[in-house]
Amino acid sequence: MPPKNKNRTKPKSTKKLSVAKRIIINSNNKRRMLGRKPVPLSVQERETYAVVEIFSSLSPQQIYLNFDEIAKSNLIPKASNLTLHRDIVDFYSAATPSATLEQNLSWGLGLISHHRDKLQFFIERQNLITRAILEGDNHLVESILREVDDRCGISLWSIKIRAQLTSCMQNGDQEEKKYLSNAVVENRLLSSLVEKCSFFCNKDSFILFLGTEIANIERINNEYVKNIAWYHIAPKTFIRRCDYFQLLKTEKNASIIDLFLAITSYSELLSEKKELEESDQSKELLRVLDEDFQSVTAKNIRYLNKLICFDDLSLNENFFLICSLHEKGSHKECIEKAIDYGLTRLPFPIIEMVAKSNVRENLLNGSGIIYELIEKMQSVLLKDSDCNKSIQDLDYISYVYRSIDWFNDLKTFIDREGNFSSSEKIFSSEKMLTIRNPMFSPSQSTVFGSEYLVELTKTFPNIWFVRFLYELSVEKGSKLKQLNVPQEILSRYKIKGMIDKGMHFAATENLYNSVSGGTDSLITLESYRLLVDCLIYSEKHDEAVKIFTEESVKNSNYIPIFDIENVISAALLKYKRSEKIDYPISLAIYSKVVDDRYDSDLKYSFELFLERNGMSRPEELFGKEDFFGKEKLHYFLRWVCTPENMSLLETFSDLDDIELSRSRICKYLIKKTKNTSSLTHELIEISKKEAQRLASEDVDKSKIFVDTSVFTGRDSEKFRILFDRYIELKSKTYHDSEDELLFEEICETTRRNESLKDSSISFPSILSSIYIQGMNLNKKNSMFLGLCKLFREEFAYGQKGLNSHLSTRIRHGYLPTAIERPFKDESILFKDNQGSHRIFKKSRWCEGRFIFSDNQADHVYQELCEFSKLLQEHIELINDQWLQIYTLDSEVSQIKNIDEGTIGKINFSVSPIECFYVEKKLPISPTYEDLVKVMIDWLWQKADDSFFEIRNRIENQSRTHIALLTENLLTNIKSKTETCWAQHELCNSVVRAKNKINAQIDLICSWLDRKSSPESNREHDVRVILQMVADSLSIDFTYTEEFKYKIYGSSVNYFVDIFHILFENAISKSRVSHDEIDIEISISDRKNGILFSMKNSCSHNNKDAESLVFYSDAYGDESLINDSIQQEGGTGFFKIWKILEKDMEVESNINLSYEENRFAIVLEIDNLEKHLSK
Amino acid sequence: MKIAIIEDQPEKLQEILYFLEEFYEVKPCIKICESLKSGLILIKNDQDFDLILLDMSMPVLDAKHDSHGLKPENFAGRELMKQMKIRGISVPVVVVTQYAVFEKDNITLAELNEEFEKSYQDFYKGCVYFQSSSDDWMQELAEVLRGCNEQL
Repeated sequence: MPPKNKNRTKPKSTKKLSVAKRIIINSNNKRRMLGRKPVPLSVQERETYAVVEIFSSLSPQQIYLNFDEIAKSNLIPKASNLTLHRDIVDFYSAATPSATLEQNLSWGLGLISHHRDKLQFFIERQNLITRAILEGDNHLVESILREVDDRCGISLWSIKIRAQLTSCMQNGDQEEKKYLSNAVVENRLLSSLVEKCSFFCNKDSFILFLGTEIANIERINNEYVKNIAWYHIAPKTFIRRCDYFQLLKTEKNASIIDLFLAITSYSELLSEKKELEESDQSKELLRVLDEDFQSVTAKNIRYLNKLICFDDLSLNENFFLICSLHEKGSHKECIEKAIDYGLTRLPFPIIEMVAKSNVRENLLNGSGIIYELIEKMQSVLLKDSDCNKSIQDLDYISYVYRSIDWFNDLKTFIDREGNFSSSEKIFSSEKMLTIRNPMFSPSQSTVFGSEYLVELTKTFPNIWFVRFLYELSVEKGSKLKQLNVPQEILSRYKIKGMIDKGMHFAATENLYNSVSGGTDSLITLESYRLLVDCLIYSEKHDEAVKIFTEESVKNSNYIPIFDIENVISAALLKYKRSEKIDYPISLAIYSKVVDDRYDSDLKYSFELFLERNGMSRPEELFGKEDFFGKEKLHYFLRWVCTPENMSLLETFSDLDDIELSRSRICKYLIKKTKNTSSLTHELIEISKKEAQRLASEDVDKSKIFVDTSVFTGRDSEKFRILFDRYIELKSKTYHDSEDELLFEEICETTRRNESLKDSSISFPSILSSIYIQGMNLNKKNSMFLGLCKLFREEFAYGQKGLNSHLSTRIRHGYLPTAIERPFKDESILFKDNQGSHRIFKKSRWCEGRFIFSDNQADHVYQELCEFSKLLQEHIELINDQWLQIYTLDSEVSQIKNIDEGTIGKINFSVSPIECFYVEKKLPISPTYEDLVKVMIDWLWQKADDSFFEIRNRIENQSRTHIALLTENLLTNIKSKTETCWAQHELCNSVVRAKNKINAQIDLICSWLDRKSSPESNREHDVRVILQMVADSLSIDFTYTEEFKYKIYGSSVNYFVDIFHILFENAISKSRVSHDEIDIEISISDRKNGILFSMKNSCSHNNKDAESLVFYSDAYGDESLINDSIQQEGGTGFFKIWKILEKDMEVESNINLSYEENRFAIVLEIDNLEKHLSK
Repeated sequence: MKIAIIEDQPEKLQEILYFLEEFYEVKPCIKICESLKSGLILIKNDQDFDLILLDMSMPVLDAKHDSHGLKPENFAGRELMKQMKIRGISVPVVVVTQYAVFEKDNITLAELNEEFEKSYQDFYKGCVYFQSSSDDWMQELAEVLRGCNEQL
């Protein structure tokens, strides 16, 4: 029988059969014909007949009311018991027909009511699992999962938690793994879900690929699969993308637990649905969840909608006490009370309060996951230097346990604290936490109404915070004095009260006091946010934007505390009428941390700022720190005065001028600020381009372009985080791992392979086709492979990546025009349609001096149309097959032979060995900027290899093919028309076009040749390169050389890096001030190479001399270098050794010494013929 | 009639010029720019144009001002219209573009047209799909220009 309840309408008993009985009898009596004989249905057929009957003949209410009776008759065992009765292989296979949302909800409601006992067991165990996870007791989690599976049937809920267990248990629990794989065998949809869930339980995979996965889900066309993916794979933030109509269609065929959770999830939406009042089904759903399953969410929504009264709520006094202590500022007592109660038993919002209290008291020092989580939450709340890492860690943990409510609340917390929340978003997040949790605070009266507070005061008259809020909100403060409210708390609540009443301007005065005199960092941060909001509300835009920029440039971690959309709306209203520096800065901050939506405004505000301050160039801002404020001016120079933003300024004559200005800005900032590594890199890159320009007057003809600034700009955060993770892993020892040794050997063997030496394809591309089957990668190599793939994705498919550029600039632009041009000029191209036919009739073949007769003109037209069609097909071949990027995972490329049709494509597949080789290209102790440089070089190399192939194809195949087409056209014209002047004319035209196409093909090939500019063979003066590097560091030097040494273009970058390390070393280690340092450099000949000598003024001691001995001994000794990288600070000399030995493949020796007050380096470098000439 | 053509591809430019010569009875006064920046400067300093024919994908700077090889901007035309709107410049614009689908963003020309109609309704007059292999674009452009003339 369905559960009893007083509100439920029972079916009236009549003499007629009940609906349930009718279906049971009909199904049992149903016969089918076997030959001429009617026979009873099989068990399976009877079930199918019954469920179809239920869904086709019953209303949603009837389905719900009769479910129990039908299910008990054992008529529909599979559909009503799901994985309790049927094999896992049938998971998701349809046990019931497709139906409406209402029907499915009713079915689901009937089903969960039918299994009430089992699901109550599940709920109880779910609570235990939450605690076990927070306590870090994985074995307990595991045994509870088994209990739940045994009692309720296997579910995706348990599979997801199990996937995480398997992933985090040391070396993986084999039995669990086996359990997992047995569970999903032969069920494609389920196995792919499990595979995805397991994959993202790995932290590296989560960081690397979840973003891409979400984008992929967005693109799924099948709504059924798409919903499953949103619900089960995407983080909970995306739950709103779920269409519950689709979702219930799948979950009703899953397990009783999964269906129950889908219905619970649906119930959360009802808090926002206005139609709740009219929907009996929704009310009944909430009632069942509340009364039968003690769902807090359902109870709270019912209370919110006045479906139950205050007395029906179950209140826990401990939660109110902890909250009260926190709000009163008794943080020590708050923490103690929470510990007494048991941290892992507390709902998430109370844990958040504990974290906030611990920010003030720092009392918690236990071990276990709950303590780690609280520590990370504190970092996020304080926006300290670990904030971003903490957000990432919390995000990961909330994701892997997304089946558990406590962790969904954690996710809500992260989304609120990490993402520029508006007041509305903060309120909505608080409302969500309130609805999902047991009552914990009197301030919930903002959600539940003041009546709640009045009732609460009657229940807990002695709890301080209850009394305080009651006095403040209901009694309007008449007895507040008796409560001894601390001033800071009183002031905070008064401000909130003013804001609620719309007195924003009045609130600003109190907020100014709060930010200037506040000692509590959390309250100060909150006050800044409120202050900026109130100022905007009061239309004090200048002041609001000023505070926002000042705090943001001081500490970029503070940016998320502000409602950035609100700030930018204010800035957009005002910047066109203002000369203030804050406006372009605020737009630049937005561009840096959110997106490029307002980049056009940023450019214009920059232009206006210069104009209104009487300046034409950014350099005129140098030295004006006192006027604009040091931090703001430096931020402005660094992030507003970028080449991109300068590009539209009329004042700059050309790109060289822009880069000159930018290099001056970099130099200025290097002198004036700390953390200059990225500026130095930028400067060096500008200088390298400058050096190349000095040596070459030619303009690069290539039309291939990738905007690689994405790797250092706004969206670079994910790359940086992964790079940090890679560096973390790199510090561990993997030298002896199987893959490391094997890859090393393969690289060496391949390098020595004589037959590959003259290959036109680069070494990494050769390695990309080598794949070792079954090879497990160590964590470091696995992370670096992921990094390479991520860089590859952006480079190849990013917004401004290669594919996008090929599409808009070449495939759809230059290429078709270039090929068609010669034929169009000769009036040879026509389409087989009426419009084109009309044009043909007016062309010189039909009108003019030498024309074809009507009859002949038709033949000519047909031939020209056919030719045009074939030419068009060839253009499509180039565009759609050759000039397309393809990426295959190594596993696939190993299995599938690459057929002839794919060779010409742009191959961006990567293999683990190739990535291993790329990793070796990194300098010793690499910075993120080093990584970007290595990655970009490698990806361009891959692109160039493919373009080489494509050029060959175009030069040979296209040239031949188009020539053949024109030959055929000539033959056909001659054979199908009579000899006449028009025929001669046409043939001449075809021949002229055929000749011209050769030049066009050369032109197209030059577009696809980045190397065609003779840059790599050009020579650069050593002095020029030295001067360029010295300029970038603003230092002087004297230089003598025996001969005029020249560096080949292809080696310039190596020398730039070496000189940069040497100059940097002189600056940072000499203990002589930057302006006074004296550097002498000389180069002389030696037997097989050169002697490079550099001396600089310095102040040194005995310890320095000892270090020199170490550096000299370790130079060239790889094992000593590897050991010392972890301990020693200076790695510059080892970096030089690495560049010379590994990248340039030359031999070198170093001699380091002190000569009185000078430090001397002598580098002997041999076999430099490939790099240097004289 | 005073027309600005902002177009970097010489062949396409040539065809547009032929078309304009045919289309207008009186030879229009035409100014040509080959990049986003030069286009913006032209219309910023002289807002007396009757019409702008605008390419969608072109370099930010003129070739002679960019010795690195041109840095292209796939949506330079959109950026120019954004700048016009921000600066309150309201000269009629017709986009003449060579591609129907903008791949990465997966926006079709029709969708882009819709976006422009909404965002730049004060001056955006329509877009034309240019194909060198066919003359259909001429009819389309003629239609759009006739519409512009009626409004003028």
